Amino acid sequence: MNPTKLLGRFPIHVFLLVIAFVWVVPTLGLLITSFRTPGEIVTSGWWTTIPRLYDVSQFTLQNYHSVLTREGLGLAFRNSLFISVPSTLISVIVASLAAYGFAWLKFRGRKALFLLVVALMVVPMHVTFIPVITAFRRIGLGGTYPGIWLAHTAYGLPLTTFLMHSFISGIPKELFDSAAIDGSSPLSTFWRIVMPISVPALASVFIFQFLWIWNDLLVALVFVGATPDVAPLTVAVANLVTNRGQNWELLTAAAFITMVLPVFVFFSLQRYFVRGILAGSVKG
Amino acid sequence: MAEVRLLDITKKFGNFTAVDDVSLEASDGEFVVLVGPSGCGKTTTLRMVAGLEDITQGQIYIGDRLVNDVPPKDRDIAMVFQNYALYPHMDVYNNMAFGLKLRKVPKKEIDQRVRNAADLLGIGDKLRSKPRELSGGQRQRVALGRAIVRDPKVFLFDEPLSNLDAKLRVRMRAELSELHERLKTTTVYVTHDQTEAMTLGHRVAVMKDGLVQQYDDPQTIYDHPANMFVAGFIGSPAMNFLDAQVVGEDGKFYVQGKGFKLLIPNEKATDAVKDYAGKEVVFGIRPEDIRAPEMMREPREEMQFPGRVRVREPLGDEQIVYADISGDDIVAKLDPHLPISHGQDITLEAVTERMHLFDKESEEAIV
Repeated sequence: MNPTKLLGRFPIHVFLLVIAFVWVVPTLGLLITSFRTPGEIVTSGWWTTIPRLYDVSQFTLQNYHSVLTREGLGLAFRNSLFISVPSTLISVIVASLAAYGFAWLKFRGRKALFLLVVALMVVPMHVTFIPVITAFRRIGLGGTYPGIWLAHTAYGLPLTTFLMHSFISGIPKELFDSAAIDGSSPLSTFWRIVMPISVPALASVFIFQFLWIWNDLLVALVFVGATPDVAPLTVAVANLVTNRGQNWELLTAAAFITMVLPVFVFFSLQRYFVRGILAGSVKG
Repeated sequence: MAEVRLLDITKKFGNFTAVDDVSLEASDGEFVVLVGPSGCGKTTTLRMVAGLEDITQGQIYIGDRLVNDVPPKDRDIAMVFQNYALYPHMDVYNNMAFGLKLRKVPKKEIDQRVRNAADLLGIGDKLRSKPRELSGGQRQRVALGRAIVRDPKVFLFDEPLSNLDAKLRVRMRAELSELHERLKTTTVYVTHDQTEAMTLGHRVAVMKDGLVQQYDDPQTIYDHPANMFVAGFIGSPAMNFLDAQVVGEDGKFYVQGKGFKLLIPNEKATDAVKDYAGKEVVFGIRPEDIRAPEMMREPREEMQFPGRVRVREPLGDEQIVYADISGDDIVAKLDPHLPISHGQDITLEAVTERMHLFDKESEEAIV
């Protein structure tokens, strides 16, 4: 790279460095604190450990052990998985099918129906809580996994459908013509052509929806908050803050347990954001 | 293999008539080209044959079977699209095998057919490549291969060469011709390129505004265009059109306009032409049918007219001369060695044995 170009990018790099610094420092503080004993946390700052980071003896895993067992975060972690994964999968699959139908199948009232679905994005979910909860209780879905799966799927569908629609409707028409001539039924075209091509969109919608559900407290609290066997991490951490607000070593450890999966999901799927799999199918 | 017959086909989108009462037939093994400017209904016609578009009125037969209500997959056709329409996530092999797999063709046979087609098209070493790794020409070959492996009754081509660069287009055009010679599959081919139409088609249907203007073999279309549209569309540079009058004098007939009066040779002075004596007509002459008298062995004065050179485009094997004759423009393809310069006064001679006359109102050919 030539010097002028490098100089031109200099402000951008400084800006990025500042942002990274502002984000990393508190996170690092959180991470280090979560490995320290309660006594040390209250007597010295986390940064004092930095000059002798190599000294492993000053750190402990006890905090993680405590929150995972005694405070029930282990169970809550499992619950979070049981809630997030199915809810996300169901809503992404339903949204893809719906988007495909709205984009490529011919039926009466297609546009109106699609507009209706998209319009649902502006309905605040709060106004639906009481009627939905009442209905759920009556049919035995209150405080159950299927209940919250259904709730998350429903609240997520307008946006996920919209996102998938904008991608799927952009697939060249000729691919569908070609598939029809090749003998592919609409459903087989969906599974064999649309889904594989939509992997980048699916991945981004999946991440989006997964993180949303994983971080959600409100819906979880409303639908399963009263059932600890089913309640996810967010509810458990919120309870922890209420019950053990002074125990920083527990709160920081809990925070990290909550973060691990989203970070992992993001890094494992992020390449799909970048790669345009469509390149090469049609001359553009 | 089979013939394709379109009987009084009409297609309407709302109030817009895209295809208007079109009747065409392609006999078994024939290569038929639909050509016309964009929006003339040629692609819509093709898509109706494919079954991708409903037919508002009329019947389409493939072989002896009425296919109006037969879905595309059961029509035993294969189609090649302008933008190739390859499945981006499948490699070349699977792109070609997809249709066969859906038809539950045995694996061994699929393999054999795909490899044969790939060898025929010279992409045998690309079977494991994804479409994005291929060049435009290779992608178009894969699209062709996908059509060939199906061994359909009819090939449908929708402007398959228009995304290729000029050089490759000429080569693929020749290859398509050769391929058709070898496979002898009935083919309907859509293009807006008149050169493609002329070189590929056994018969060419020139379309405009949803109507077939003329359906004939290429030479007939060139020699005897049915109307001014066809005359102007086929041939490059386009035919010259000049307002004129048919004049009868001493038993001879002339076509006379601003700045020219040319003898109509006997074989062109048909009864139909004679009926137009004293009436307004449009005189048509192709640029290649205009010569410079000094290059001719027997110049004929009665067919000459004066002009002034406006622009000259030397092309090496010929020169295109734009001349002004009494305010009208005329284009002539002349011998490249003829010394001509801008602004020069020039005498040109029309080969009136190959002239055309059109009715001014209906634009239909008189002769």
